[in-house]
Amino acid sequence: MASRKSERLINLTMALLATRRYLSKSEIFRTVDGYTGSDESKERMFERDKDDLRRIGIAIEVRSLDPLFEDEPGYRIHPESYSLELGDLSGTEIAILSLAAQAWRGAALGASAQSALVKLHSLGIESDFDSLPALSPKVSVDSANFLPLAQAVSDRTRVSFTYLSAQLIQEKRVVEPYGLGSRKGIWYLVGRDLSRDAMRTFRLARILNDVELERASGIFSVDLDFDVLEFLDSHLFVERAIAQVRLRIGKGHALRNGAKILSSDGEFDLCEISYQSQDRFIDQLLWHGEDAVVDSPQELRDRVISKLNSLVSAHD
Amino acid sequence: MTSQKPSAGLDDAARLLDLVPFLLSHQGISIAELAKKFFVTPEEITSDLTTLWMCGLPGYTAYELIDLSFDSGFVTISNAQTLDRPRALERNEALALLLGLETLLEEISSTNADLASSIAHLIEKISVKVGESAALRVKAGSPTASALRAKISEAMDSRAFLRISYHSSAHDEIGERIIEPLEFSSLNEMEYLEAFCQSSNGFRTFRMDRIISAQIHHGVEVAPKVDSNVSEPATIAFSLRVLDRARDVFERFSLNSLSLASLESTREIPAQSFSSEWTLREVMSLGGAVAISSPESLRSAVRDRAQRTLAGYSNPSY
Repeated sequence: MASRKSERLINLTMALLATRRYLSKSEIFRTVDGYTGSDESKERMFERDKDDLRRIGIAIEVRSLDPLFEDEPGYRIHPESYSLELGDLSGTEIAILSLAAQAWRGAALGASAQSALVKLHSLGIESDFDSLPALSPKVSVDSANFLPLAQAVSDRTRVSFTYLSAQLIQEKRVVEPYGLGSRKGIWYLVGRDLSRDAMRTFRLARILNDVELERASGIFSVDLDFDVLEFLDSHLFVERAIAQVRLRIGKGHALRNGAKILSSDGEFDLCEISYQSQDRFIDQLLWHGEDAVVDSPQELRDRVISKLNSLVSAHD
Repeated sequence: MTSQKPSAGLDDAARLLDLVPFLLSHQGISIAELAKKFFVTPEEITSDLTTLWMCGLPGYTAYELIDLSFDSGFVTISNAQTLDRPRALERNEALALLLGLETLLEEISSTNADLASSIAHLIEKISVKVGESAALRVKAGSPTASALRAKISEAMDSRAFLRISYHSSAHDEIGERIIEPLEFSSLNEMEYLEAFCQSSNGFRTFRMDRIISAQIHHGVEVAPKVDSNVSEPATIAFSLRVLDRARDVFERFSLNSLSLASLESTREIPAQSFSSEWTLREVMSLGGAVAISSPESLRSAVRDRAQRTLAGYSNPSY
């Protein structure tokens, strides 16, 4: 049954691609193999087939055959819209695209990446990996919500989901999704939170259920030059400050990355370290215990001391 | 991107359409190889080919039908008619390529300007296919260690050993180890390498972002037989009292919904880890938002470390 159906879909696609003029339904039913039964059932089959082809990305163009009688539509598929048009591609470019597709191994868009690769390899251009360095990129997306959210972003569809708040309370959120972006391996959804009427950032890993997409699409607008990574950089990592921290020699490896050593007294190096979020920086400093001591700024030093006092009293 | 459930046979139809141009550029490919390329069984491919053989242009005589031969187990095609070009990329496919390219660009942009400009050029071409400025709005920006991953994959493929320099976070030490890499894994958006570690004679998990370098190891050490001597990291159990920042606690100690329930009733939760040093540091880093209730040894260890750290602040800053 399924193979009869796909056979008909292939025949229809081939016929609509071959024609230079628009074919009427009766022509299609007369000439394309697979349309059987009463007129009514042929009609139903054809409507269904059109929707199905659209679903796999094949656009059937419809045009009125007779300007005087609009009820006689004609159909065809433009070869240019049907086929892969990426201009001239070199063997090196095919190799680069293969690497890009391989980056999805096991992740959310793995199947789409593979089918894209099959299409690229069908162009018959030999991939040239020799001109590339040995690379193995990886896109890390664990969340099953990635794909529906990407769809909602691109269709401008409202979404709702349950989100884990900082107090560990499960909250229902309704969001107009503006963008989806990752920083340091973590994926974020950026959008307007309708209940708060403000822009908010959500970590995909903290969305607890399957997101629900509203039916209507295109109901809000996003500035054309909205750039999700720029937004994340300016809202997530806003503080960008510099601290002077004494790090015990031979310790504090994670903090030394990118730090500048100002002086050394044999036991500690005095280092200049830049950080983006004070809260996260304090967490990191405390992780290092007595191997990291803040000299300045004073406010940072005071906050660390106060947290250390809380630690002592919580464990008394 | 399709939201409705496609009707039966639609995936098959899409695959049939994609098979034709693929076969045209891979004449003589074996059915087994073809099945692998399309992620289906050889039986499904054979059934696909049988269906395709009945398809063609109106008229449906030998002149119009697609001509296939695959009796020998190897496939050749002729008369592909209007299906000779691969189909346009669907939106998800274009999105997958685009994000893959962005990830790649992020990694190499500073080291190889020629390659970076080729990638940027491809990003431009593919962005058009994603359309609607969505390209700007779904973006991967995570630098990942591509060259490192390629080196590790090479060792996996050739079953070679690696000498790695690794930053052990719990002990804040950088050490060398000889490992046999087994597979990549990921948890909570972090990427890990599972390996047999010769240096500790046990299976170990390494966080990818803490592997500083890796070289193929040509030494003569033979992997010890995996036997009862293989050490498994022992787990230690402890109990936490949550005072604040519940979500951070929940995420950092990888707690499950069971502990969530006990958190709601008592604020006291049982947890476990592989290292008391790691636990100590996590508790320190939460700065009083969480307290160890038991065991007493761990509880006093946190207090001692906090006091020693405070001592470092008793001198005025200089």
